[in-house]
Amino acid sequence: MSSKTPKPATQEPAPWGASTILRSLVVGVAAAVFCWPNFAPVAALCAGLGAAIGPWASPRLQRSPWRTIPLATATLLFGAVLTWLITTAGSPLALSALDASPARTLRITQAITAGLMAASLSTTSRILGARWSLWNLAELTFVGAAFAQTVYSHREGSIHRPFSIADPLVAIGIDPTWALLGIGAVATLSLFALLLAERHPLRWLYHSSFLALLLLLVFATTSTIGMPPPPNTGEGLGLRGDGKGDDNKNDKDKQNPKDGTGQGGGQGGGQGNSSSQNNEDLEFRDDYNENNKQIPVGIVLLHDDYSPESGMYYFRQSAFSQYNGRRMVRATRPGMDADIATGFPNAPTDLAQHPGNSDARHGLHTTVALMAPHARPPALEAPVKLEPLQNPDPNRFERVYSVHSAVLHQPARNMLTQPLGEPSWNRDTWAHYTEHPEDPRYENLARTIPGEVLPKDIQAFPFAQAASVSHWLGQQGTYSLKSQHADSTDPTASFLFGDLTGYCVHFAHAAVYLMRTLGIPARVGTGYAVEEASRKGGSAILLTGASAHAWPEVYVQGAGWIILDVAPQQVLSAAPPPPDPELQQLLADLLRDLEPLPEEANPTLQTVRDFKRWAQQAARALGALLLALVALGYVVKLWRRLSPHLRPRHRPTTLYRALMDRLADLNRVRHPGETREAFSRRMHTQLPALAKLTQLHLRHTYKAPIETQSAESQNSESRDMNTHYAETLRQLKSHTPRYKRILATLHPFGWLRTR
Amino acid sequence: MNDDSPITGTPATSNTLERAQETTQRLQSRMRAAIRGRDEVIDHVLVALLADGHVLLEDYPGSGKTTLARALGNSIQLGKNIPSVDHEHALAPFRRIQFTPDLLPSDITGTNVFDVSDNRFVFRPGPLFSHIVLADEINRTSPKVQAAMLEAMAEKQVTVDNDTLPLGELFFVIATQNPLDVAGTYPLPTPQLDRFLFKLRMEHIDRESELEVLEQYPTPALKQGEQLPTVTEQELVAARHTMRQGVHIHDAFRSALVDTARALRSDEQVLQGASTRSLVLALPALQARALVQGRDHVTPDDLDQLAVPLFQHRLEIMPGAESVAQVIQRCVAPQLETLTRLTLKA
Repeated sequence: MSSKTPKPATQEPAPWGASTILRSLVVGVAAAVFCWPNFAPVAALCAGLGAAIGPWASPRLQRSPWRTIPLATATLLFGAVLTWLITTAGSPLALSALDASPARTLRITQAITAGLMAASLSTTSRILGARWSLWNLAELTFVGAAFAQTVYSHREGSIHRPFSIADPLVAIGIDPTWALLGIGAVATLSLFALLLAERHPLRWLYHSSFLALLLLLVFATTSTIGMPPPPNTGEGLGLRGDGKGDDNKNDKDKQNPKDGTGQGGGQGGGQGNSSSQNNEDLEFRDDYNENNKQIPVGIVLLHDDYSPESGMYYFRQSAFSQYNGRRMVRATRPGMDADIATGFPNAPTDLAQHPGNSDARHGLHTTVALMAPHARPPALEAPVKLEPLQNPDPNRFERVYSVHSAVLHQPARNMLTQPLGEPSWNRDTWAHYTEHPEDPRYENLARTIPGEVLPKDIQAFPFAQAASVSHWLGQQGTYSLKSQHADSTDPTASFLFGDLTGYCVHFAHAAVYLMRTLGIPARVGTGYAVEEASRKGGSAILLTGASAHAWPEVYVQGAGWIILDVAPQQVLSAAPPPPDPELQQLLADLLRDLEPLPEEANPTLQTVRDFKRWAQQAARALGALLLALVALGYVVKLWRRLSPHLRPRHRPTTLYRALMDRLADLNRVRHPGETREAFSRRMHTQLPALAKLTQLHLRHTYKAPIETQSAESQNSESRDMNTHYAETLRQLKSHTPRYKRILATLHPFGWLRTR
Repeated sequence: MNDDSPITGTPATSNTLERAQETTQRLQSRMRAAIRGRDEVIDHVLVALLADGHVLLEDYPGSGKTTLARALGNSIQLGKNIPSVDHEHALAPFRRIQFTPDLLPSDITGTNVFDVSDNRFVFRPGPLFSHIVLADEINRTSPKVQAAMLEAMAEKQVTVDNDTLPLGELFFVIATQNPLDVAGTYPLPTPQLDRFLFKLRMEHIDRESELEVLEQYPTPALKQGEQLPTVTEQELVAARHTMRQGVHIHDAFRSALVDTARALRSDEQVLQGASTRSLVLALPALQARALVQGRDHVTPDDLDQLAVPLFQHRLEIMPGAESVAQVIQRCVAPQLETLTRLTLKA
């Protein structure tokens, strides 16, 4: 007669049911994968087998009369004690009987430990999962984490990691990316399979669509193929043109990747990067961000052996020779800094005004592949000719070009007596390269330096004076990525006449100003500076964000621009670690060995790219939609909560609805087909006052319509409702823990369940 | 019909409605005092009594049906005699008829007996001439007797030797049958079952109530509520009348009833659906339950609680997985949902 149907007893999964097999398989694989990097293969296998036992063992254990927590604890303890007994107490005896070698002993012990511990852990976890469904989430997290940790090291452009996976593949010439993507696919499948073990199909659908959404977001926000784009902020050297122009270029690449790579291949349109050059700028920063600086931005192949006399390879990208009253900017006067390339070459390009192969320099050929967008081509100084090259792997490299440089092959000290500037320079040129701040302190300081540093006999030579400035700054200055000069009107003065603490931009500016007050033509060069040691004797040089640099250079007659870098003796910020030599080697190999591939020949990649683009758009749209929905949810919630006060005429209805909303927020919902009275009876133990309120509410709807109520009785009814409403709320409060009430208040969609 | 009743056609004032509720409550408390653990059945029986219907109880021997019927009979004070029965035979408050295969119609209706002293036939009323009749094991008697019984129930009159004699206005039958012991019985056909307002199943009472029953041991159960006030026949009849006029049925309930019946008829598990008569009978039943619950309007809960007893004996269900009650609950649930959602529409 009553509408209650007996609640089915919690059903146990059948021991050979598909769900058990699935769960056991997934957990086993995850455990094996988890142990693989750190354990012997045998041990990983044992861990997998052990973990697979869990889903079978736990239903049998649960039939025992024990309660959940003691049972779980006992299972865990049993596993631990058994492991300890076998490995510590039992195994030496057994192993001595087997006469095993120490290495084998270690492997066997490890295998036993891994297997037993995995078995007891997975059984415990399953016991807990059967009791509290929230624990299933922990299991899910473990499976995800197990896969994630195997590929965790494959970050920040370390495409050669993890070694255990990448090395064998690289050795036979396969891109390890595919193997890693495969692992990701297996992980995803495993997670879905684990959800498939869910008994309720609707819940499965709900959970897996949530997981799919999560995966979509991950896919849309991470770089799966090729190099991760290095972060665009915090550099302050303007090397990669982190401005609007660059973004536009990226967008264009996204819309038409073929076109983007075509530029690298030498067929693209002319001055495609002119807009981004405007954003190329030197900036003073107080807090130079070093995060993610190890992500590779380029790789350079030397085609001939060359060791610079200074011990550093300088890849100049740009130069700043015009003083704008505060700092150095790019030259806007025609004819200045003509040795700097205006953009990436589309055809073999000779750079104007190069000093040629004078007796101080000789030719060197290099190949450069950039993995991140740049404003102009960095090139080993001093470049004389740029040539575009076909991009062997557009997925990995942004641009590939070859550079012919005239590199310096004698130490700078040989030039001490050389005159500076060119005889052909006119007054304007001289004025351009020697313009400096009017602050007299620069000149006062500059006049003292040569006498302080140089021996008397060479004090008069301008190049020696320039070198002395760099030397003096190196002696006196302190290198630190954190400084406080950026806010002053002349940051260089703040640095130079202040604490002398700063980074390359400060040092370069200070050096150039001081040199210029001495009448020396000088400018700031920017690009990448890599120590020769990091080459490790190979022919490849890896450029990373950490090697971005700015330096002072002076013009020596016949030899061109000579870099006189400042080497601060006191260093507060630790130098970044040298780039990973193995990654350097691998990228170089990729650049050397890969056959040039036309884009169309790899339709899979194209599909993945298309999908990624689609996923990004979908993720953005979904995110916006979700936000809008949540906002709408709150608006409706607020309206329904306030409407009893806003519309007093409908109070018997709206007040009751407000209460039902509160109950729904707390997951107390009327079942479909259940009458309000039946619902209030169901709630009776906790909310006795609800029954009376329900009665009043129903009366409002179902009472005889012609019955005219006196105002007095209407008032008393309304008072009654208020009293019972307040009473119900009080009872609700006393039966609900605070955190649940807070969660309920935050729930934007609770009202949707109110019927 | 009754002096207390207001003018027909106007809604009862709350004063008389309150009096009707008070009458019902008196009856209810008396019966609850006498019978333990059967509150739901008592309420349903009271609903049937107020709705002027009859009740078929399906239960096991010794589950308290006689106690129930006798308690009901004892709670109603005798009013006036039947005017048409001319002599000293007053209307008994309660009679029990044990149905057997050899029972004859005249055994229950009464018969004309030749009075030697008067030298004429005199009608001697049978057990049907009482307020409350307990028809025990009604399926054990022949169809002829069943037909006579059911005529009495439907028409509130008996026909003896072509004379039609009216029964008491309150006439209320509680029939029983054992759901398991069906050997050698004459099962009631569905059209005859249709004359019962409710079929109720009496499940075994819970442990506490059973203990209470045992604790009463020295005092007979029926003595339990005797000190409580009784109701009179007139009061009950007045309550019936007030209820029909005064308890409001929202229009939605009529459509809900019709939709439930239609859903039942079109359900593939159902061979024969609910009759239109049952829907007509359902309206006073809903009102009666509202009155018993102390309300002046019908709510969805009334339909929810009455749907199964109202319809379960009127349906022919395909032998299969679902029980009759489950089919009815399935068919009434959407209607209940519609009714319930009505209240939040401002």
